[in-house]
Amino acid sequence: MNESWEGFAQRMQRLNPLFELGRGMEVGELKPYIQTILMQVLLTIFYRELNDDDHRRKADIKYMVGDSIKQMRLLADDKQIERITSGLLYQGKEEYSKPFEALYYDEIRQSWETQTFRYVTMDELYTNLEIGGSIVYKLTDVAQEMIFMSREMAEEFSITIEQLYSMQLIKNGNFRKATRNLDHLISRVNRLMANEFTFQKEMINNPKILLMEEEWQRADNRVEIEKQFEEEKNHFRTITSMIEKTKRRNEKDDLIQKELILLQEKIGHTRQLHDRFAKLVIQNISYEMKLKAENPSLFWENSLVSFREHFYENWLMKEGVQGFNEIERVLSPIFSPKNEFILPLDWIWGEQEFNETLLTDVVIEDEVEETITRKRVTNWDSVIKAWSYVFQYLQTYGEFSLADLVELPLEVQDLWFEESETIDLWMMFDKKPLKVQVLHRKEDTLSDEREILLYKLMMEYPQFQVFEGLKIFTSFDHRAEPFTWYRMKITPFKICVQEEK
Amino acid sequence: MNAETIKRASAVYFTLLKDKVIDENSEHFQAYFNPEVRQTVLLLADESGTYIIESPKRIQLVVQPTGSVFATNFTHLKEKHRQVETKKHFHLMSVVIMSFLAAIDRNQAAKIRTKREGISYYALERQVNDLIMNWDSILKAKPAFGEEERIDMKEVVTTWKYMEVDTEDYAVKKGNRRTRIGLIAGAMRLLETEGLIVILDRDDIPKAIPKQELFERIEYLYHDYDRYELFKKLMTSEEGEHAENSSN
Repeated sequence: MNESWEGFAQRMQRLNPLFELGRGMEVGELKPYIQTILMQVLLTIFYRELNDDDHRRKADIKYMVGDSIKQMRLLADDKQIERITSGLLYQGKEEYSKPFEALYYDEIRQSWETQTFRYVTMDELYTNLEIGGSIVYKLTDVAQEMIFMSREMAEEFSITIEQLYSMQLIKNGNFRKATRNLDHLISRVNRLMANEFTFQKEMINNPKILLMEEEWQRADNRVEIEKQFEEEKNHFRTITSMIEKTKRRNEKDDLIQKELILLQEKIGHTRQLHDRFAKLVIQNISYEMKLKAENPSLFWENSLVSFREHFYENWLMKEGVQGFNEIERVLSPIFSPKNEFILPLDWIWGEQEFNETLLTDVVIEDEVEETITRKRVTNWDSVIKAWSYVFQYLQTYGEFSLADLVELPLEVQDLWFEESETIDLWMMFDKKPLKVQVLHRKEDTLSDEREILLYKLMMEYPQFQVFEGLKIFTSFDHRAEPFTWYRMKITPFKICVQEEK
Repeated sequence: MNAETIKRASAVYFTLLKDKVIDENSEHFQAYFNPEVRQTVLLLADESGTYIIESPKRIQLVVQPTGSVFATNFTHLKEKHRQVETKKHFHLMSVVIMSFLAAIDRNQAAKIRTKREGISYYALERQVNDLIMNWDSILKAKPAFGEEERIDMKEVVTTWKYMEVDTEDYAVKKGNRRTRIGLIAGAMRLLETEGLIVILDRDDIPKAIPKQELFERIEYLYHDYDRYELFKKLMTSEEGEHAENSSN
């Protein structure tokens, strides 16, 4: 076998996701542009992930697709946008949510193998599993690799190479690019950290995964990992001192100074992330050791019986059932007892109540009613009217402090109490900064109450459309004292707008 | 066994009865792992026809397949489907749950993936369909099947086959028992109420994400050889013994 075959399977597995991007989508005249569009969408997701922006739901991705198409001066109808979106998420029919598949030739086994991958996957950090809701997506390693590859970093991509690259850039005075380069580094370390977190969760829940081969090697790597982090620190020190030097050399140039300060801050942040990551890795290793030492029984091999094979495939599928009580017997122990009678041993509980049955009783017959979330009917007209004053302020002064509410005309103040939603929205703005992107969306795709408010405001008062694309955030108003307004104690934070660079 | 042990054990057991699950942050979790307390709790559990499922993060209480005095969400659902017309829907939902459990009961690597991606209702529909089509051919192979024997099975096959997959009408889409997806939604809601899965993207393409609690129950109940033998015996045992006893 000559060297052209060396590592061939791996090469192909790396390239396949690129080849498959957008393939087989029926999008008519958009076909030649599809890969460019999708790459832009992947990059958008990538940067949102980097900036902790959780606007990465399917509806948001759809918006990104539409936006990219518009930016590229192309035209698409809703159906095409829908198709492109689902084509990035799944292969084939959306309903089955299948991953992508591609073939590659394995030069060692001398056979064709199938590779399965996805471009995006659920971001557990942002998807709210408690309430349900919609999936927030993040890029998979495969998709990230595509992004790194497109920067000619196809070789073994490690944190250190990224750092060396940054140093090179700083030397050449390309500060902006160096800053951006650090973004990649941050994303890389974030990803590794998320992996460690998942691994930790997985390990605690199910220590058997430690028996999986690849995980075994981790323990042996400990020394190496620690060494790696030591090196990391040295690199950062070099970078920082280099910046210091450059800073002194360019003392007069304000622009460079600003750029350098930014860079320095970013490096500080990156360092912190690395330190946190290091701690996590070490913590996991110690967990692992503890688990192994204290609970060896957890690692006993899997039993020979499985539900899938013995209950489902060999029995239910192959033989069918005589009567359904057979299935019921198998399924019944999946469920916990529900106690519906007062136990005679009430002394155990004293005043504790058994009100659980009341709460969780499944009323299946009425399920149509049950599944429709009872939405509070909000009189948005009133909400919008009340808020229009705030946004008028925002438009003129760029910020509005809650303390100013008291200054508003009395009839406007009355408006604030007509709908409870009006007040509640204040708290909503206190969450994360909101980047306004509502103007070109359909109302029913908006899920954030703040977005609904802005959408409705823009529809009612077109002058507020200037807020599109701006960032709205809150900050604490230092000059004001907490005050009481109609029996509500209010912390005087203020809402501000900022133009996105 | 002293009074103090019994008191602590009952506290654990009744908390389990009330909450179904005790996780590692509960004071009862620590109490449970005292060997004497644990013995007593296990005794209480066994006497009342329940199992206790232990894992590093939590303990759970479920009913035994035979002779538990307790009702469950499952028996409730059955109660609500007593009529001839609705009974087959209950049977079908049981089949859906079987298919779902089979779909998630895979090797470790696949399990981790399933926890992230979930199983879409439509993918589950295909699984159930495979099973039903298989049953269809079993029934056709023997003339007595479906006529004298296995009448329920035949009815379920027929009901499924003539059922639409989904409906376009959004207003009746949710919880519509006359479509396959509607049935699946019903079955998944049962597991959701039990706290075993999370349902995401409810308004788009719903997906059921299994929780660790469910994997632990599967592992305990169906991956154990002795219990497998017990299930086998139960399934082949005569109807008379435990036949559809409405009191449990």
